[in-house]
Amino acid sequence: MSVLYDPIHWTPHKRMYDRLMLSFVAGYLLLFGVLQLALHPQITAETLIIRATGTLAFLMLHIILSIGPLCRLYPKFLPLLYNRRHLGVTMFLLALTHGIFNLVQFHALGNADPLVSLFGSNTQYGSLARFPFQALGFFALIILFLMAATSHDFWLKNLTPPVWKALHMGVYGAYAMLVLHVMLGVIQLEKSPVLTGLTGLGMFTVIGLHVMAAWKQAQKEAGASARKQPPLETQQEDTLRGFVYACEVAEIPDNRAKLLILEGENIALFKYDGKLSAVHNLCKHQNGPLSEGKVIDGCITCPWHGYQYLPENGQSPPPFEEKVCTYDVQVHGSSVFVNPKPYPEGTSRPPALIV
Amino acid sequence: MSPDTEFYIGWQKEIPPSFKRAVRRFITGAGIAIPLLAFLIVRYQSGFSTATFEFGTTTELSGTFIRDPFPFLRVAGGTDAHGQAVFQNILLVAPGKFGFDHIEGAAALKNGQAVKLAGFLVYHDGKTALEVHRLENSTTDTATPENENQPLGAVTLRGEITDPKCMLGVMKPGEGKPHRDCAVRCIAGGIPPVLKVTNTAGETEYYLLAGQKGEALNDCLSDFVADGVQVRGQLEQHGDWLVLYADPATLRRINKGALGAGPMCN
Repeated sequence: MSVLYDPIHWTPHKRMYDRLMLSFVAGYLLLFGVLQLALHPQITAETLIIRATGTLAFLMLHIILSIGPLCRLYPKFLPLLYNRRHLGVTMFLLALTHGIFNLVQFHALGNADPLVSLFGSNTQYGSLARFPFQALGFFALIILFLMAATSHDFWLKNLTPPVWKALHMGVYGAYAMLVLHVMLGVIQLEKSPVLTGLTGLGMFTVIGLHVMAAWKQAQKEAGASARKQPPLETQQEDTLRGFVYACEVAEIPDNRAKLLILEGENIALFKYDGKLSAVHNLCKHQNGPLSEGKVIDGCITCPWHGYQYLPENGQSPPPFEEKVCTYDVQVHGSSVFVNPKPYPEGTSRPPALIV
Repeated sequence: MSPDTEFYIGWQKEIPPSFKRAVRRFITGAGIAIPLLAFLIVRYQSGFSTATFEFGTTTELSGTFIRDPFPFLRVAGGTDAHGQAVFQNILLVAPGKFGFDHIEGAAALKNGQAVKLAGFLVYHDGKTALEVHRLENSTTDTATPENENQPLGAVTLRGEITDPKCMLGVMKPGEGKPHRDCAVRCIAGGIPPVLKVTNTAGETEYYLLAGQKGEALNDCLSDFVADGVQVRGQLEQHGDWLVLYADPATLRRINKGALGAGPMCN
């Protein structure tokens, strides 16, 4: 959690994650180099570096983009999400190496500034087949740079989560540009359908996983909407003014939550210690789904990065400072009712007692 | 704790067993898929030419300087089976993406002047260029070289325009869309444009491109570089190089998806 801005807040998992990731990176680069020299010994050193770093960065971008929907579909993959930003920064550094070598190889030592040459050597912006694909790579690299540079929680806090999240959604624009960068660049030189097929397979994998995750999320949200209210006594109707029927108590496992979407509010309704409390569903860190979290040591714990909140007031335990909105909850018999009008972030609300 | 009740928190010491199993499966899958992808990417590349760039190895050559239509060094290469002297024309270029005249003193050299040059050789498919690093010395004596250029008549050729320096081995690949910007920059820097033509049998020939009167076409070719083109002109043999004195009005794109065909220069 973010009370201090360490350059990297190391945990045993992060160390293991990075060791594995760097092993894969080193292994890929070594294997790619050995295979190139064995199968195509005529390759130049510059081309080898350009292709090794470019293909690895593109492959890593596919993995990065797949982790999110994979975790939505199968939450047991959540450890892959935990340190994804290190994967992203490493991918950017590889892409940067690819970009610098390309800029020097194709544009330096000539009669124009390399950046002028990058945009001015090929001006066929109106043609798809002849489009200046290197410009696409350049703009994608700018987006990846902005993401890598702002990946630290310092920027998340200071840019505010919505702005930070919107900025980091730029990765999809970068990915689209990089697919075109590959298809309008090296694929136009290569004759084998295998390379075109691999690019297509990667694209369909990323798109397919996102579509499946979106479908699952839509199903979940459909089940989270307000349901038909059970018959109530007149006395109860008075006390429940403004409240909406949410579910039955038995539907929520102990120390877990149910997602509710009531009058447009995204709410996580938690059951713990014989009580019920409701908070806003989105974690202040990276909009993680708190309704998929768990109450641990008395705190709602986000499944993405372990940020914690007290269920009664939506506040992170001191010294942490994150806060989420809270809601009123009532229990009548076995039925749970929630008032979807949010209280300001961190407002204490008494939990509803389960009789 | 059953797998359904296990909960993963990144900052805790232990990963719950069911999460650990899932991650292990992912790592195993990645361990198989990533090397396989590396193999497929490398295996199914088009491959690279056997062209050679003797980077770092300086060669000194003496011969006769030829100015037009392109800067060549004509060097003696012994005698043939009939005892006749054999000469080789070596195309001269400067370091980086520049033509020969970019080198200090090169523009003052006269046709037929005896010179000694030092630089890195670039060669492929029987064609040679020299990336000249310095003019060792030159005499002021000039002798008009014997004109051994052989007119070969009018031809129409189909091929790809690139720069001969990269094509002969400085870059791999030195052709195609990925190399387009580099070829544009090289040609804009004064390196003569070359048309690479491959026949149906897979045999390749290279034609240096000049205008109909031998004038440079560098400034008006950039839009056609790396495209499939067709061009007509008068062909002439210059030692071991072929020069096409091209009619700009006949230059057409022939590849799919190209912009509308049109004359090369006004």
